[in-house]
Amino acid sequence: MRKLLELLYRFRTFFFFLFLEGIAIFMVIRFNSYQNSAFLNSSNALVGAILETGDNVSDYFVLKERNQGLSGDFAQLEEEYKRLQSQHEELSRSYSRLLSMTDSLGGMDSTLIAPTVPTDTFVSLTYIPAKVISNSVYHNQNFITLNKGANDSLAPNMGIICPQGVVGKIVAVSDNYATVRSVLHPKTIISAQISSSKVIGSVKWKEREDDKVLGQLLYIPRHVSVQVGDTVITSGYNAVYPEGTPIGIIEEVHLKDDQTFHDITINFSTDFNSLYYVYAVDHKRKQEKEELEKATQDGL
Amino acid sequence: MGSKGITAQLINFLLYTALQVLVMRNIVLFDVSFCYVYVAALLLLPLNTPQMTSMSIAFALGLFVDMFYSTPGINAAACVLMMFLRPFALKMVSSSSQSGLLEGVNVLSVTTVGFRPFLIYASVLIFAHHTTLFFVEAARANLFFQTLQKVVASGLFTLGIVVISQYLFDTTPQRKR
Repeated sequence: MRKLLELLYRFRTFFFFLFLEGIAIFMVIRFNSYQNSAFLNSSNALVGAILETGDNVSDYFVLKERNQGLSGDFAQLEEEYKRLQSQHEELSRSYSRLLSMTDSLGGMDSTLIAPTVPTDTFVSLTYIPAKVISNSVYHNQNFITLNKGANDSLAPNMGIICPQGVVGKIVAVSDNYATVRSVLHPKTIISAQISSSKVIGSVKWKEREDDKVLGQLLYIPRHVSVQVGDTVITSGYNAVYPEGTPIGIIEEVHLKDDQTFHDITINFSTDFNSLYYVYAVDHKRKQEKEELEKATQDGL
Repeated sequence: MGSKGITAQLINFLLYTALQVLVMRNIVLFDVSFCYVYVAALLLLPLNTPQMTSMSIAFALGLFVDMFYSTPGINAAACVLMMFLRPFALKMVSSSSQSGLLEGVNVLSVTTVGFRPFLIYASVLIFAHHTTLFFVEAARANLFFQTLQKVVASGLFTLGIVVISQYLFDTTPQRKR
């Protein structure tokens, strides 16, 4: 016993080293599998405050680019607004024509053709704008920090999108900050579909190549014909991103004779280098949907 | 070590950590070269610091930097290994230069031991740090050469910045000649 204690004492530095390394490696492994401790990452209050201060300073140097980006977004929105307005006018015209037709048919009850779809079907999604205060794209595991947190009703597992497409998913929040696991992370998998053929697959980040960020579209069966240049959008199955959010454009398609699935490379539409304002997607019915799915599975 | 030495150490830690998390975190050269200049604060720890203390300091500093990268444990593991290997690096320095170089030296820096010995000391420890860091981060064998490329490119980048920063803001007292 004495000998053992002497041995331990003699190599105490080495054992202490092993102890500290053990804790560190444990954190690496544990964090990768759960990733929900808001304390140990960039949404930590102190870390978030430091990041925000740094971001406030660097903001001044890129004001011009930000302005250009925002005015581009604005122009796009205006175009969309005009399109919707003309659509609306057309619809109201045809509605009034329909009304006058029913009148001429002899006073049929107009409630029969009034819209019967409950309006809240269309508002089950809420978008919460947030500012990116820290972003990385060159690491193996990339994270984004936002300047909003639980106080602004952000929560883990919410999807993050920007006008160009998907950005990532929240992994941890503190009161005022949130850490987002970017699409550029090996653990991020997005349920996707090809917009033309509606075939469902999964998108994963593959690599960076010069300025492009490439991803893989997995599980597209070989009988489906896939064209280079098709757009890939989110499917509505995962309840993280709104259905139809752009993900990217198909860049390359390969199919070997012995493969069950296509080998598809896509080019992400989001410019991860210049993320500024993003939107957290609050899926109001998400919990309900998940509970229902769970109940169905338990019932089987 | 007097209170003056402690102040110098505190300034070192604040300076290099701030430089890391506010500036260097956003700088990447050629897509593969990262700079982890905060290790300079550990390199400049007094040589008479007990090794268990220096490893604890390294763990805390590594974990703090990790929070900014949202990768808890990776920098901490690399820093602890670096401080564990420090005696070996010191042996290499003293065996490769004239005897008595490290005598009376408490903080090993360019001003106290000169350029070449400091370069040996810093490069050994920085490469140990970066090798651990990038291989733990990759955690996959199929990225071996890509990771190795990152280790070498980032190691050179960090080493360059650390040596330059030695000349820019030197907090160690001049050695009496």
